[in-house]
Amino acid sequence: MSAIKKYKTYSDVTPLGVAVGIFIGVLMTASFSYAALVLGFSTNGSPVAAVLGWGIMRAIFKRGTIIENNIIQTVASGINTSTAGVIFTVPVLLIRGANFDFIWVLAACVAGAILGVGFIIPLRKQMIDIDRLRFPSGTAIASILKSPAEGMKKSKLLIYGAALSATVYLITRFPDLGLPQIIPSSFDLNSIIGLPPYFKNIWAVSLLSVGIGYIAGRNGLFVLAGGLLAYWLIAPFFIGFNLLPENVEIAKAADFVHSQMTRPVGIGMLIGGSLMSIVLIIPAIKATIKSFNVKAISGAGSDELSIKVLYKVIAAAFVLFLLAGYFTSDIDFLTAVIVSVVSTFWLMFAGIIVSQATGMTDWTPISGMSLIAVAILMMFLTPEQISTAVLIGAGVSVAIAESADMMQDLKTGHLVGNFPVQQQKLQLFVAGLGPVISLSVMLLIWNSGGTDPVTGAKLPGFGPGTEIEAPQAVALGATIDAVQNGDVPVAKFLTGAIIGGALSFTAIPGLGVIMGISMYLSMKYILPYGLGSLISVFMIRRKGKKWSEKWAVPFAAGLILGEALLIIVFALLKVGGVI
Amino acid sequence: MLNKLAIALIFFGVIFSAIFASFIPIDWTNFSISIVVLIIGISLQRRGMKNALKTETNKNNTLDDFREQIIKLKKAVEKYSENLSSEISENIDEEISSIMPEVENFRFAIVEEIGVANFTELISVYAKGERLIRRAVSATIDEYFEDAKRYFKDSVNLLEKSVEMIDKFREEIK
Repeated sequence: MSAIKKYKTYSDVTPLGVAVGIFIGVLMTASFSYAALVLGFSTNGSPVAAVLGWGIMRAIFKRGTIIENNIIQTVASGINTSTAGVIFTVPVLLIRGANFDFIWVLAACVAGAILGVGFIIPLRKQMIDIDRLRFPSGTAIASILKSPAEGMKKSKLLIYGAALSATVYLITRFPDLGLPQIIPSSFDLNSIIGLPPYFKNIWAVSLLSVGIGYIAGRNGLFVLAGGLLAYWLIAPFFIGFNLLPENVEIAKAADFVHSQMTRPVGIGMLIGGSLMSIVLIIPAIKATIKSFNVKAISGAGSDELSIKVLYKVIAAAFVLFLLAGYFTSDIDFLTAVIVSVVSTFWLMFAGIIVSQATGMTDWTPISGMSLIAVAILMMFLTPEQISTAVLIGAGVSVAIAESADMMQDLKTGHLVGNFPVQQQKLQLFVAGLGPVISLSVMLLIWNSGGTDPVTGAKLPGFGPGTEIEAPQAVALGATIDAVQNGDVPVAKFLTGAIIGGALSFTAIPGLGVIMGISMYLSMKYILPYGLGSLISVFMIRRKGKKWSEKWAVPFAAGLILGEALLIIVFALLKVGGVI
Repeated sequence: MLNKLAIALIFFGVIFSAIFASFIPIDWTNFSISIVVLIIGISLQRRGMKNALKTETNKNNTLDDFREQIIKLKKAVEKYSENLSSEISENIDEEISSIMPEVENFRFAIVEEIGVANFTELISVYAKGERLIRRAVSATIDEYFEDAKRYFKDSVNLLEKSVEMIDKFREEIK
């Protein structure tokens, strides 16, 4: 398919492309924010942004190139990606009736967004050029960007995949549309094969997960292995041999093992695995930074954003972060400095952990890293200073999400030949917009609670007892209570970190991170994801890697696209009050 | 044999260390034993990998192989920098992908040969060339042939520089 040329030379960053990216990003952020409050999870908007960007540019403006569309998708997801960071944390302040100033929450989130992007940029070369991390969604998006112009066969595969996954997702949502349930959103395979209930065998009906698993390939098998270890070996072992504390009910035993026993070990493995990975690549990072300002022979200027500019941006964002923490609660300046420094180190480290996990598996353990951030901060603050802990925690969450998204977009850029410096500048420029939209939507919904007809008191718009439960914020509230009661599984984190650190030295780079994330995740998504990886390994053996890249990856990208598109449609229907 | 033993030790080391770490309270004694087993397994595996690299039959994906593949890629890119047309725009991505070296497959062997810092330096230069090639492919698919030729031409310099660096590292090894 021929491109519709409007430029003398091949275009990348154009004012129109940036404007379209901002438009799509704002729309997605508003709808995702609402969906995240209701459902407790957000989704990667990049595949949808890529398709919408292409559609808008070609259908309305009659122009657009692959690289320009990569820029649109970078901008849109750079705005949208902060949704989870804001919605999983800030609502807890409203639910608990804490005193805070909206403007400082916004400042912390904007600072977090900039710090997240700023800190991860120096690691692009390491993760993408040198380690060649797969970034399954980034790879899928590159396939989406190239497909429309690469000939009808690939486009058809993408469309078939999208149609199939969208149809399946639509059928699973029939009850929301007042239609009879034909396919449930998940099913328990044990009800068919008769295994005991503590062998978690629940499968999400999610072709998106299958598609991501396919593109993750062999790494996905290690995720599956970790899941099987946690859910099919450790849980049955403890329940079967009756090794649980006496007060645990049998019906809730499997959930207890996951939340109190294997999940903390998994989080520790993630941390230990990442820490050791960083130690192992220190010589490479040094060489990377040394080569940072080398001019490209192409004459296109430096490939990376200048390290001096980065230092300045990071310093400015840090000052904003510090001020937000200082002015939110009644704390002295020294404590504010300590809290800001500790948080900044954690967000840098957690950003690397999440980016590595995303690169290898496509899973982003943002909520776990955010909970740890708040737990760390609570060690320096009193219960009365909870607003500062949550506010800084929100900034950290936004930062982590931005780090992972930046790297994902840079991977796509690498595959289509974009210059990283352009993506980096734009993501730094727009990253602060997302929190503005998310926080506005959150306040709008909070204020829509109305008043009690009897007492005249203002009613909450979300939280326990309302239609919008804000489950992640409630979970954060429970963590805060646990920290205040001294109930943090530090020893489990430590043991996990030792295992994860050791696994980083095996022949499989990042094995500690991969296994850690699989012990942290819910089994119902691990199983379809693992199925996708199994299919990938099988097809590569049967048909070869080239065949897989040529034909199966566009189809898998379609599977991701179709379901992601429908998730957004349903979020919009919710926002509009249609369902 | 050594590799199988290593994998078995890693397998059981991970399983048992995860189980004993999950106990409430943690079973530190058995956890420590499991970790020792895991570490022995990892040490054996790493030793096995180094030994395998030293034997002639396992010397795949070495610096020399990487050099060969870059030269092959450079020849193809030079051809495209002279001649591009709409007939090849549908297949160019596939054609280029099929001859582009998969860096991840070379990493272990090359790091063993020249060290991680030199490997990083080499791949930094190669990746710049690779990016220009990918950009040229995108431009060809979008049918901006003149820009695509320019990107292909620019990438040749970087591929040549990569080969020069490899030659320098080979001299240093000798």
